[in-house]
Amino acid sequence: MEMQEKIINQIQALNHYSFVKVVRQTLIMIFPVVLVGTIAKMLLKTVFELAGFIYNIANLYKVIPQSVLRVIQFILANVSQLTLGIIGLYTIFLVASCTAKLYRRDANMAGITGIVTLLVLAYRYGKVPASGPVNFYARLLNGNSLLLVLIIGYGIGQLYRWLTPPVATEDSYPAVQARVFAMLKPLAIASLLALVGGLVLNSYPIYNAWSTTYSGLVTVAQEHHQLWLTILASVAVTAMDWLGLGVPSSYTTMTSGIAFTANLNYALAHGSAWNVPYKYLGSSLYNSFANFGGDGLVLALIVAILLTPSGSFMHRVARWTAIPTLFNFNYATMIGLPIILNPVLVIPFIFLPIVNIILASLAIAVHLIPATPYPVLLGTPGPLISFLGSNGNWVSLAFAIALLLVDVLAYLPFVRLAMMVERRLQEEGARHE
Amino acid sequence: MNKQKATHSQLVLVGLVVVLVLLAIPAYFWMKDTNEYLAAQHNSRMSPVIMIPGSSATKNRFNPLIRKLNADSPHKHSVLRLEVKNNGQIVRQGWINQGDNEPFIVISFENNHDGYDNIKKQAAMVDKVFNKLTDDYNFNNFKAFGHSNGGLIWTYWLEHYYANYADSITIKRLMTLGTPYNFAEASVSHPTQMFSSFVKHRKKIPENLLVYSVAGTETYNSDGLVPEGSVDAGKYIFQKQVAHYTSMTVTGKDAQHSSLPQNKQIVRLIEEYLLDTDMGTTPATPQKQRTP
Repeated sequence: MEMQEKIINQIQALNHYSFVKVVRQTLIMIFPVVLVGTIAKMLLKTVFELAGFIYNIANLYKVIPQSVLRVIQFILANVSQLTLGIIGLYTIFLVASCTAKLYRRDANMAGITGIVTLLVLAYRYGKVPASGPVNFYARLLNGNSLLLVLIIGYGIGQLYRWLTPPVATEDSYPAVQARVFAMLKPLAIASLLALVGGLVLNSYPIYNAWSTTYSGLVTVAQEHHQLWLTILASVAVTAMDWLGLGVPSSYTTMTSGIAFTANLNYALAHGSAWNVPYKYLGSSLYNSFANFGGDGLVLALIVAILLTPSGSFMHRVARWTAIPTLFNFNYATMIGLPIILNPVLVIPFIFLPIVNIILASLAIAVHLIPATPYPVLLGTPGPLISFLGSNGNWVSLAFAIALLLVDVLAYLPFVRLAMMVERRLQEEGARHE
Repeated sequence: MNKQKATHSQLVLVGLVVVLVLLAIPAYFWMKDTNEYLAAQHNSRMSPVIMIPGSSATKNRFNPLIRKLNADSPHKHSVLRLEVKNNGQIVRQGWINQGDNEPFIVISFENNHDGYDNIKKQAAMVDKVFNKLTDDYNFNNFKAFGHSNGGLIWTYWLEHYYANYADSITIKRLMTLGTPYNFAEASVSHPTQMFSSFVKHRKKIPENLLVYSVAGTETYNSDGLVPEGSVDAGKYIFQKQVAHYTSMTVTGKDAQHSSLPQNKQIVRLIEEYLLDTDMGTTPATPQKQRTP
């Protein structure tokens, strides 16, 4: 109990840092946008795409004509692009304005400065100056650079704190006139810095190295058949997710690669999933056993939250994001709870998937369950993947459900802790009012 | 208040379990169906030769060729002819014999006109037929043969459609016969729109493919219809992309463009390079030993 009290106090103390406070506010405020985007993406990938889970099991190709399907795909892709695809823009506006507001500076101006800065930074230079449509590095505008965007936005808020005078709360016409010119200094400094940063980014090798880190890690996690590499890469991937430097990757299932094909061919030739050549293939282990609700076993986290009796904000988020997470689209949950940059949840989020991979490998080693060489569809609910991937092995299904229960139990104490922290912060907030 | 919210959460939890169970049932049947199909395809020994005739030709274009090929082989290849009508209907003629591992499938079109636009349309039709073939027969590899524009249709199909099948179906060999890769232009210094597009998308052509381009010549530079330079332009599409690109020129009797499919030398080339030696005609090897 004393230990727990100590941890809660420490986390509470963390929340006194302005950056932490501002990030918390921002993540809560972008949650609705992320939720809409996540639901659109889930619908697109699982219901309206040829490789989608619902599309196939419901035989939708018999129901929906191709032309209608294409229209739906366009609409859903648009929604997800304009929400998740440019989430950095909304984020930087909110971070910069929240930070400015914290110091009683002009929040709207800071937010706009944030947008300008991010756009300058992400600007993609063409071969000819200013011709054709405007291009941006998508990676800077989507969730893959969330941490970077949070830091830049916070920095802009700080610029406003140093360089502009405090503003009165009322927005009278003369007051706005007075502050417009004060905005010029931070705007100029921020865009100049962004310009330099953008030029550096536009040198191809740098952008390339930066943009391939995450996908490279995902590939290592999935392509290899050495357990320790799979585990190492899994840690790196979930750590990057947690830091806000990666959008969970399970939107694509691995059904290719040399080892996967070798396994599938063996299974097809022998009519069995036992004794495939690569029993401990990273992609199969990860997708089948460490993927309940996407990276970090978020489905287990949601179940754990729903099991605890309390009407907290976390419960509302969990209820709203339960269905997308069931189909492994967990980004809304990661932003809403939040999981991203949340010190309470970092340990289970990063390490529970490894526990699952190790337990599954042991179960395969002692011939309790077969490997999972068969292809599964995009958006297959986590607990069903090993069952479908082993062509209907019932022990695999039971094992996956047992594994999920273990994960739920493991998440429970962390969920309780998170709720206590939340309550404590609410009480503190109420005291300040 | 708290009590009420907790009930909501429990409802969602129960809902999740119900949804999961409801999804599991159709997913189970999908899995059984799919894996059965995959296994049938993987374990299939069928490797058809799919043939496409040139412009203005009908489904019977290859009859003399097939007759000659079957005359040489102890194991007869069965023939399935599929003609795509302008209304999209596919008319079947003939069938694939049970146990025939190397059947011939001829795809022809009611709209058999010349021109790049039409080749694109025909490639789309080929894809429709091919898609249906993959459903009806579980082959995991095949050989392609195209006479004249038929070779262009195959090339277009390889560059724009094959990727959809590449995971499960291998195209082993492609033989094109008098195929004008640069239409009527004898020199690649005058590239046609089609030729430029073929070169542009050449990276889509599978790297393990073997390609044979056969030209006929009546004069020193033409088969009477297609300039040799246009057939030869194929190297700019296939060479350095596929595993091997071989070009051959046949002269003498029946080397005129339209006679090429019946040319004795070309029948030999097809037997030698396009057909499988170890499949379809399983008893061929021992029989050959008996008849010297």
